[in-house]
Amino acid sequence: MNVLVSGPAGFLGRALIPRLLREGHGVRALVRRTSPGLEHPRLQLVSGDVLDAASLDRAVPGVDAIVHLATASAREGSDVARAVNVDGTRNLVDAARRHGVRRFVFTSTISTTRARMGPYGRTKRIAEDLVATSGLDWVTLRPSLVYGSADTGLVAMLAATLRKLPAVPVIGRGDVAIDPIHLDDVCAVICQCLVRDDVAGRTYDLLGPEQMTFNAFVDRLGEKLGMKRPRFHLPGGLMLLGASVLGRFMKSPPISTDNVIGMISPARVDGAPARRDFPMAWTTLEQGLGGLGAAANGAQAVPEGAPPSPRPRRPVRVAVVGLGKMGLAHTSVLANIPGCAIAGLVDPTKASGKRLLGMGHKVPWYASLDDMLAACRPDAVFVCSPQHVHWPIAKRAIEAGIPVFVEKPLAHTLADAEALAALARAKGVPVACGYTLAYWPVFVAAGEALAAGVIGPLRGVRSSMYLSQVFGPKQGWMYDATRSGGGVVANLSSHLLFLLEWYFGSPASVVATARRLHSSVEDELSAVLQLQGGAEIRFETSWSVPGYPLSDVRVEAEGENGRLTVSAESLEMDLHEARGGCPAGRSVVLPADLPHPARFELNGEGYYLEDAGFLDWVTGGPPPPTGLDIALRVQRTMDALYRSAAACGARVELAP
Amino acid sequence: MSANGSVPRLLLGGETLLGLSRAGRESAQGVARRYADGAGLARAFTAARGAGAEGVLVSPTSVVRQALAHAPGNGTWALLPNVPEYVRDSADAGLVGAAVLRVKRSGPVTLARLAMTGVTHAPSVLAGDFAGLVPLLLELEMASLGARRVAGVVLAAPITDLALAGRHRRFFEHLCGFVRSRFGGAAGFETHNLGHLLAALREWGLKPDLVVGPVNPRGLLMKPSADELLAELHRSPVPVLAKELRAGGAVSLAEGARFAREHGAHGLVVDLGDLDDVEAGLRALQMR
Repeated sequence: MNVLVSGPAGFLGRALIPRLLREGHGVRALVRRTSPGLEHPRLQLVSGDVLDAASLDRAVPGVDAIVHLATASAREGSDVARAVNVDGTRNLVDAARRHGVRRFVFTSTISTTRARMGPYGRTKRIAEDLVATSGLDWVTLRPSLVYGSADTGLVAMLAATLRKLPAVPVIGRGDVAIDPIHLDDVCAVICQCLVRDDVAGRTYDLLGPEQMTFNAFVDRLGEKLGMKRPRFHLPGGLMLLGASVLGRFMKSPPISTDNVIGMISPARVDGAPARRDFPMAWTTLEQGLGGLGAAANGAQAVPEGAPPSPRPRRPVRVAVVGLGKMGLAHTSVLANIPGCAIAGLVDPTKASGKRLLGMGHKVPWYASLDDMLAACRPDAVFVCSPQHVHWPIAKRAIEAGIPVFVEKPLAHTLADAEALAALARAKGVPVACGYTLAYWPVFVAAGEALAAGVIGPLRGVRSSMYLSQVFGPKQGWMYDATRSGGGVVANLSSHLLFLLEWYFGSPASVVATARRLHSSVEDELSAVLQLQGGAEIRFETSWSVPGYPLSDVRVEAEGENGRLTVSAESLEMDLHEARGGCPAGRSVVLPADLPHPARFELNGEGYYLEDAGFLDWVTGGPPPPTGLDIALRVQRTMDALYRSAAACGARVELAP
Repeated sequence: MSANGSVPRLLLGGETLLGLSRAGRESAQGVARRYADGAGLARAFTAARGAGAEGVLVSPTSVVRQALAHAPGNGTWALLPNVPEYVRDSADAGLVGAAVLRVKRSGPVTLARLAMTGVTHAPSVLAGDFAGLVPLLLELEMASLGARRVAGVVLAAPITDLALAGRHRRFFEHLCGFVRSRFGGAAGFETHNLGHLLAALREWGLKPDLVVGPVNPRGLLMKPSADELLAELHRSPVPVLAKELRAGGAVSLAEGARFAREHGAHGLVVDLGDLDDVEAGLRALQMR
């Protein structure tokens, strides 16, 4: 069937057209200014306007049915409402008659059933009469409050209000009964009306399966969005007067008399005929709002057929605490993970919050995690603050039972890290740490090769991490051991310690020496880590060497079957004999040879993959390689290195 | 400048001069050694122009400044800001502190320009809006580049991608207008999320003069995925200059260039790090 749709770019039109196309219909969309933003072989855009009869003579011929969605609310002015709703409907009905189109589905409104009507209700009522006396095979549908999980319409508007305002304004007492109906249900009914003869000549009130007050609806929505807000009520009479005055003097008033009447005057509706004639599983509010949290907060969707990429298994809302460089990176990445929405940004400094909001993130800012938890409960918390506050922030989230991702290292002291781990275990709350190298494909490939035993029994390891960053006196928390826990090791090369722990296990003892060149924390550290089996790992790190504009991590492991060298640039193996699927001789794997599944890039793929992997875990996926146990073991090794360096290179044993 | 005809087909890129190279640290250091003095780099710029490159895409560093003084030419495209330097400074002084550091180093002319831009952007600067803050940064960085005039300004990928992550439409719209009016050249964006950016620009109805982003046969850095990016590339009304052609050394320059052109890239940015011999390398691309 070929169907002409008027008003294709509206809330209903954008949902209806894909459905019509899916059901095999050809669609001709009457486009005035805005197209529905779709491309499809069976979708034809025709320029025209219901107010322009000549354009309808171009649009109508050849179609089998018309769905008339185009409408004008009273906010666009009484004259416009009358023109579009009455004259426009008349024009379309006339065009249908002229061109022999029998089926005509008209969407009206329950406003036409109220004892008191504004311009919108009145004009739609007249239009209903025009349709009913048209002689066509007509069906008129009067949907109640239509909601959906799209980024436009009622839910988007209410979500924006919940985000922006500390309280929700409600006109009147908010106790008028409403029957919210899901957008998909309205579209399903329209599609049936196109092909069923038994419903022709009837008018249906389309009501959702649950009746509730507007207050209850707002509360349910706030609950789903994780934004509990108090309501405040505006006197209905006063608002009606105000809307009436505004309507006289403003071309496009912010609120119309119809809006106010809808809030204070009950509709006289009957949903039984529609439920009888359209037997289907009507969407409950719980179902309709399911998954809304992410969608309404701006989470991205993944197109069908996109390559696999880690992501949460259900829509999630997250909080980012600490809005410095790492907070900025995680916020940017999280905002681009499908199914993930940022529920709030937390930082005691308002300027930091302002900076993130100034980058376009439309989410609430809170001065503390407590403030945020009072307003909404996220599904996960990302702690990106300076190390000395990792533990107090994580503690608050863990006590609330919320999974926590903590930037590396776990804490600024071993005592804090152990306290954090103990609490997380006691409460059974998932915690992971931001050792992002675990997600770089080339380091993952190296880990897999080592786990497969390609180099045979380990003889020794050389490892280094360098960066050109500190060449003079520095200030800031990173250079204050009481806040960061140390210098280059705590702030940078704990990443390397993680890799070594991940690849080779925990050391039995360490010997370390450190140098302070420019600040009160160590700028360089050299160490030997002795593994349980006796093999030694040489560990060198500095952030005060020239020639490393980017941090450079390198691990070179020698075993009885050969050597493996890995860095961000490549994985090289030189093996005596083929083993674990790796060939004998020299082989090189470049990052371009490996899969790169992240869907957004910011300083590499690591941040995206670790954040998405963590969210996958907390929604039922496999645990990440950067969980609490390994993060705690890295912290113990780091603590041992610092104790050894403080004791001028004395050997420090680690408990097995 | 929005007609494709005025957008270059071939630029010589200088990202490796900042120490950034997908081909590795050794490669970046080799380039840094080879072009350690401005005169040597200026010769490379001249050779590139002789081989058909319509200009150079460079960020402000001391050696670039010297080179531009030696060979000013007409085809200087500024890639701003010099992000690695900014990140290094911000590790100490914070993001705002790093900007303040640049203000302190500025001369009176730059300060005057900065003041004018600051005044015209005052409301958005006070509101902490990225769209108001980045123009100030561009003023400072442009002064640091030392070019008398530029053919265009391309915003560096890390900044573009932050604004893209926040889907900050007005940022992109404003930056285009600001660059065109303030610097009198084309306005472009470099990105590591090319598919996302092209889709967003299409959705927003925005047309910068060009976009620079990764396109290569291995799909390296092609986001959200290689297929989605190529689909966007085909339908994009915005000219795209492809970079990262060699996928970190996994394919030859010729193969990467052919792939990018076949998939609808308007032009190429070939980095110094990908050319042992600038003139011969670029001539070979022109002949294909």
